[in-house]
Amino acid sequence: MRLAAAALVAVLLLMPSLVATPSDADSFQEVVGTSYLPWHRTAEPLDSTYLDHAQGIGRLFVSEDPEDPSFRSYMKGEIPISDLSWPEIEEGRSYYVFFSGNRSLVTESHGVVELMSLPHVLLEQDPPTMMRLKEGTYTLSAEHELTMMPRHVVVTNGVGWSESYTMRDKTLTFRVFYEDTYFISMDTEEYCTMKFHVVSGDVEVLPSSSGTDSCEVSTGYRWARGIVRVDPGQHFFSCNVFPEGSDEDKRFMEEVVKPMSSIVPEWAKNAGTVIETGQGAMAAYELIYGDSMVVRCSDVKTTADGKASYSTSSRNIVPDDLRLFGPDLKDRVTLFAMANEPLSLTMSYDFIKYRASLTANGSTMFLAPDCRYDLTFSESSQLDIKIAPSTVAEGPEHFSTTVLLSAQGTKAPDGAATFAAVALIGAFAVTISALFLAGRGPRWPD
Amino acid sequence: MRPFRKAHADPSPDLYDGERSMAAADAMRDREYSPPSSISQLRVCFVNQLALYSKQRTVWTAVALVAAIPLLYAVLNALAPSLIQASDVANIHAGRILAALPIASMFMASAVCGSMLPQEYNERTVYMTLPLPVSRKVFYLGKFLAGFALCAATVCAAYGISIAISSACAAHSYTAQMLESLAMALSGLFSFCAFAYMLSTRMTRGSSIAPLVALAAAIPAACIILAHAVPGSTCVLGYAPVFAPDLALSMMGDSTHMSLWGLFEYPIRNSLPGFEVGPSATVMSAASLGLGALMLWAGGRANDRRDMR
Repeated sequence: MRLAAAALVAVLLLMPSLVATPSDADSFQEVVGTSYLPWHRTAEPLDSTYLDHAQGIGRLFVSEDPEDPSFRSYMKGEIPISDLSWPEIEEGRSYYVFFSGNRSLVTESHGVVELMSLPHVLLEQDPPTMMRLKEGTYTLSAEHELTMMPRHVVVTNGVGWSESYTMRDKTLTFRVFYEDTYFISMDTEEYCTMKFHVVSGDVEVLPSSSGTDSCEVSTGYRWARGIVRVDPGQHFFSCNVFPEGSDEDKRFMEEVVKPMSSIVPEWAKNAGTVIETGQGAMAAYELIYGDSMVVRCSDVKTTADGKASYSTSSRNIVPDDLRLFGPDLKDRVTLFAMANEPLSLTMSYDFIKYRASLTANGSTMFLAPDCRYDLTFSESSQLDIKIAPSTVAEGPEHFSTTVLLSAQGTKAPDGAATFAAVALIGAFAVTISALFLAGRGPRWPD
Repeated sequence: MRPFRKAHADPSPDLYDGERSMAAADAMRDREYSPPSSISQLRVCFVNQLALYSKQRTVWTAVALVAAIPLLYAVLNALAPSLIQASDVANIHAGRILAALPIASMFMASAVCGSMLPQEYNERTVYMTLPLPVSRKVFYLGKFLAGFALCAATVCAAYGISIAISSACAAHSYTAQMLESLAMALSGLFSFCAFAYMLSTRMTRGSSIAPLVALAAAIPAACIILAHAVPGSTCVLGYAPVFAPDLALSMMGDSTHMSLWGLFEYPIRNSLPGFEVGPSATVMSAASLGLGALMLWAGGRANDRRDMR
């Protein structure tokens, strides 16, 4: 009996309170690069003169074939961008232009160019790897030479600290100065597989597992509709804009806005629209976070030779009659962790769109998606879980309205505090009353 | 001459010349006299001690402590709102309001239970009580229970007022956890009362300061120093009943409270590492109740052996 009790005590003392896996200095973790920006393609081929003005609008690729197979392979992640090659540009010939970055293409020579959004524009990637790194030196190695913009590898702890590095000769070495939970990602549009090595230090890869009893924590995104009053002419809007009462307006309301209320978005975003305003009022729709809406509008003028010229000035319009659609979504959940009781949290959300953080006892930590966090607090604590957008949502195919939180080891509020307070104060009153009643009687009974 | 008959012998109907005019019960015949039951004695001693409290300042001290809670909260909230930060969870907010629970419960226990018995002996009222059919043990226990009841009612009122204030400010409340914290505080209070009561049995004159200093400073300091000197002993010393209020407030969610450990936790961790308050509420409650019972027993033995002079 004594041996069994001693063994039980030993097991309890050795049980770790936080998630921990044995560290392996030689272990590596595959880190996959991500692409955040969609690709577009001109609907019609452009002549070679356009290409002289096509600098500075993001990544660019040209081809005579609108369905260029090599570009399709790149978008599927089958080949790196370094394997793409431009054809020889010949004067007088036309080329389709593939580009990312801006959602519009307006030039002096061609005016506003109609665009087509390419399918599979977002390379579906695994979320960036989440690891707990101790002080030390770590390296990343890539399979391909990355010909992208500098400072494209991002190491961050998700709560304020972030560093960007440039990979050279397919390797990168960085140093971690304090133990924390970090994730590594690529800030570029290229698909690449990187591997993570430990030179010195210690790494714990957080396990991923799903919990039970999930509760839904939704984001604060909703659709806003407002009436925009502009002068007659051509305007270039940066959100969905349709003539008020038009078929497009009604269709958008029916097909996009109303389904949003049931958190089932089935709509298409039509950004970069040029509208000829015969009317003075436009219905503007924008996906927003919060309750304010600003429609960015630029004026497009037609020059004497019939070509469009793009006005470099733009103005913000605060629409009238602003209405918000969608459920009243929360972006914060409050939980109560009891002292010395284990607690498990798991978040499930679109990492590209959102960031989830946990604040407890004045400190904040990042909650990676699909990772289980086992926590134990020495005193009962209030846990604030907040969802914040990492980028502005752009388009339905990139939008996820649901964030799931699974919490084990927490209690639900019961709301019986008032009764408890009345009972406890009543007990004191009864005792004092009994005390004074006793004082009025004889000391000893007959 | 009539033969002598024993006084307790049943009178025969033909003993007397005339008929009996009163029933046996009215004439107090055939009655057996014995000391009251222990429960009855305990009840009488308990009620008498409560009656004594009604004529002392002790009860007004308790009422004043309870009334001070909402007044102090209102003043501090107006002058220094950051001192009692609001929280969305009522438990945490109530824990902050109860920051003075450790020292206040020790003070109440010392003031109420630290001078009960010596006062009886010094005022010689015990000499009128003990010759009566009441055992010393019951007399000792009855007075203790009255003192503990008053202190426990004060702690309950403090919790009730704090919960009422915090529920009005916070959106979420976890009542079961509040009651668990209250149970922890009451178990610690039991040990404080027993300690002060036991100490009073060994003093000629009662003292409220000596048990207070011991509970608030001497014993916690000894535990912390011993835990630092003897590695691994914190798993035992951390469950000393003097730390029960600290654990109770940790269960509510307050980290800064008026006790030696609550006020000086970080300097102690830096200078005398090795001590931690026990995390298990069950073990702490059991330790508090067990040690309290032990101290009660020790005090009872000392009281039994005390000469009546």
